[in-house]
Amino acid sequence: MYKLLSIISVLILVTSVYFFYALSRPTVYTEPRSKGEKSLHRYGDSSTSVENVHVVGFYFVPKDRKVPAGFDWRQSFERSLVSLKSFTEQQFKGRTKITYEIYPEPVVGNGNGQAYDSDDTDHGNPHALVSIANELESRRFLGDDKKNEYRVVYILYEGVGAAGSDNVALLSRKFLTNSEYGDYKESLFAHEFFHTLGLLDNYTLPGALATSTDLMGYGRFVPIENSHIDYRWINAMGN
Amino acid sequence: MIKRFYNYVFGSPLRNRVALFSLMLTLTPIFLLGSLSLYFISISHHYDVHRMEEGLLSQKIEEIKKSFADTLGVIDLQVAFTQKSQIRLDDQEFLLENIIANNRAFTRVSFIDLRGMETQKIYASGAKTPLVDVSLLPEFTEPMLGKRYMSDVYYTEKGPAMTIAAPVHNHNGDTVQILSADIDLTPLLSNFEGIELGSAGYMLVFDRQGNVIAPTRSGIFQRNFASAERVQSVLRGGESTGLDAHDIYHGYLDGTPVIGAAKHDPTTGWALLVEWPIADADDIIGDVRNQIFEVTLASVLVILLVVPLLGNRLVQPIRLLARGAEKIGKGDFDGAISIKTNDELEELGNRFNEMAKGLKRLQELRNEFVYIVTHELRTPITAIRGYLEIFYDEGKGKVEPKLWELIEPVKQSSNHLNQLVNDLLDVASSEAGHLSLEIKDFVAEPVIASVVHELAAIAREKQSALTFVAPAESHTLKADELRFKQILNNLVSNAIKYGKQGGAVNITLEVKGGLLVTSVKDDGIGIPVDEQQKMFQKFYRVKSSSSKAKGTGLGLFITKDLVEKMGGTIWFTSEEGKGTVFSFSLPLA
Repeated sequence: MYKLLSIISVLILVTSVYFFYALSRPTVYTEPRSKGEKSLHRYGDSSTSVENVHVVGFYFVPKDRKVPAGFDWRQSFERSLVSLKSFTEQQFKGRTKITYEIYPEPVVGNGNGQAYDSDDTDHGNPHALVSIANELESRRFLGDDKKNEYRVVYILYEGVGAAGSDNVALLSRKFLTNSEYGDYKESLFAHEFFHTLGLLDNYTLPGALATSTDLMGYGRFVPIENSHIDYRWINAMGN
Repeated sequence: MIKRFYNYVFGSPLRNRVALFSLMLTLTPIFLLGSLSLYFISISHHYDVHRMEEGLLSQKIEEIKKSFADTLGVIDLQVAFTQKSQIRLDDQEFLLENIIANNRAFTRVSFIDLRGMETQKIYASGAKTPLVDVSLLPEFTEPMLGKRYMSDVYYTEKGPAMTIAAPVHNHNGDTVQILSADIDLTPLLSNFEGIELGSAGYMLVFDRQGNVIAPTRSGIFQRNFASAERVQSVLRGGESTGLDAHDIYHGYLDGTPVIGAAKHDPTTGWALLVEWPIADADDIIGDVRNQIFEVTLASVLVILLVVPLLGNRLVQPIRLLARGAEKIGKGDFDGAISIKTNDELEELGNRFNEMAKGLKRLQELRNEFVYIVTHELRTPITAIRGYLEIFYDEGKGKVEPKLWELIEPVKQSSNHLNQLVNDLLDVASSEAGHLSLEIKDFVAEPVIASVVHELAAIAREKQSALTFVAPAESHTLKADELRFKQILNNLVSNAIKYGKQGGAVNITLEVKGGLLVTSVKDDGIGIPVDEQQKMFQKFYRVKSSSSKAKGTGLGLFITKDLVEKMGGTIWFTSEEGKGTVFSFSLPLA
């Protein structure tokens, strides 16, 4: 009888102990999820990382033009770059780091303004962008690219133009100084920069009708603190 | 000390059994009932968690619905006329300024004409921007279809935002204009900050693309979980209740195991997830479980402390009875046992004492009887021996040799009977308390010498060499001289009897710690090991077939009794086939 009692008691104890531990340790379901973030890259080019972007700014003045009196170009340029940095890092949730430097003196062009300007104002005068970029290259203003860094040349141009392509952006100085652009000049500045990251215009040509509300469309006419980059482009860049 | 503790704890099988059964009887119901209650609490608790999570989700969905109803209500404009033309520009500006002034969440409001051109626009910041053609944007195209428009969430430097738009109707329901606005979602999403379920539960809000839009201060704000199974399912309109097995998973916030419930918000298309870390949610179960463990542990400790005390109450009387029985077995009937437990054990103790008294009386009667009988036997035996002595003295030369042969066995038998009666008388006297000892100082050596002299004849018969070398100094004993002689006589005559034919018997003396040790050594047959323990028992004789010696079997019993009554001890060492040494000690004067 004692043996039977002991066996029964041991069974009950063991069962109870099981209950105790089974109740306190439920099975946790492991949900399938994607394995970590992809590398942040240029839109449409996954081989080019844009996690470290270095912007080199040049204020380019054709030889027949002058820096407007009273225009503190360095301050204006820097302010725009600071705004760009803040906006870009916020849009990519800190996954990209923007650094910049401004060439200390205006770069006087080899040619007159005519050599750089064109009539293709619908497209923002890409001729100026290409010719000035080439000139900067040939005159050895640019130096070599650094490893693990995506270099963008930003040209503040004393002429007509607003374009961006590959890793060169160009914006006419007037967009930073004329009062009509006063409240959204940083958006225009940023818009051209984002072309260097591979994003395309979101408006129709001709007509310039916005096809998106973000910076690449309607948002370039919006104060930069109100603007954004469409989530589809950001996701496509690996964010 | 360890041994004492071990014996105290484990030395009583009865007490240990009582302790074990007490433990089993106490712990079994505790564990059984505890497990059952824990099980049922767990089930009901899971439903409670589900209800709390569901309640929170429903509440927040209601809040979102109300918030957007209010917000969209702001841009739900109806002109008070049947006009089909747009509102006058001045009035537009006035209306927009009012909307901005009275709705802090609005960062921008615009009127759009029916061609898709902005006609008036105001920013809460006061910024001035150009009026833009938005005819291709959904904030125009959707309202033009008579619908309200709500964009996906996007993220500005100020925080998450959204664009809403609605048609402006006249009284006939015609659309005359579109009113569009950007709204800052931070005030709405701030309602999701600091949501607490228990002390660690929280809510996550995902926009239609699977980005986390609340809480904004969480480490996963703006992270995309579109590929996560649960988020995908909820964004498609599904929900989870927190009751399924899959609703216990690794949380999105930091991977901690959580119980999660989720709902789809029909107003915005967002997914709302409530996650409650299991460790916190099931805290109550842990508390119950811990309480059961504490009660169990306390019970075990109490039992382990109390049972030895209770067990001793049971075991102690039993041990007293056992010791009493042992003493009675050795012939000690004195010393009553005292059991004061006011129960059956005390009754048993009292009966035991009565039994001991009865046995003692019986023993006394027996001893008296033996003493009287042997004393009475002595008289006829003495007469027989006396007449035999006379016969031997007077009959020499007068009795035929054949008669001598017949009378010799009679003489031997009477001697043996006489020895037996004397020994019985000695034993009976001792047990009846009639044995008297005359303790005085006397020198041992002369007594030993006289024994040697008296037994020399017997030794010669066996051709044994009986030797005693007296030491240089004599030794004075404090004992009964006659009894000392009797003891020595018994031991030496045994040594001769059981010694080898032609062997040697030696008597030696040694002083040890105030005692004189007398040893009698023979080189005889020795005592078998299995019989050595019985040597001092009454009537015991070694069953060796090699010995033809006769005796009563009482000699060593009497010898031991006498030695002990005189304050000494007796012992022996023996090896079969080699001999025996009997030693006894008595106090020196």
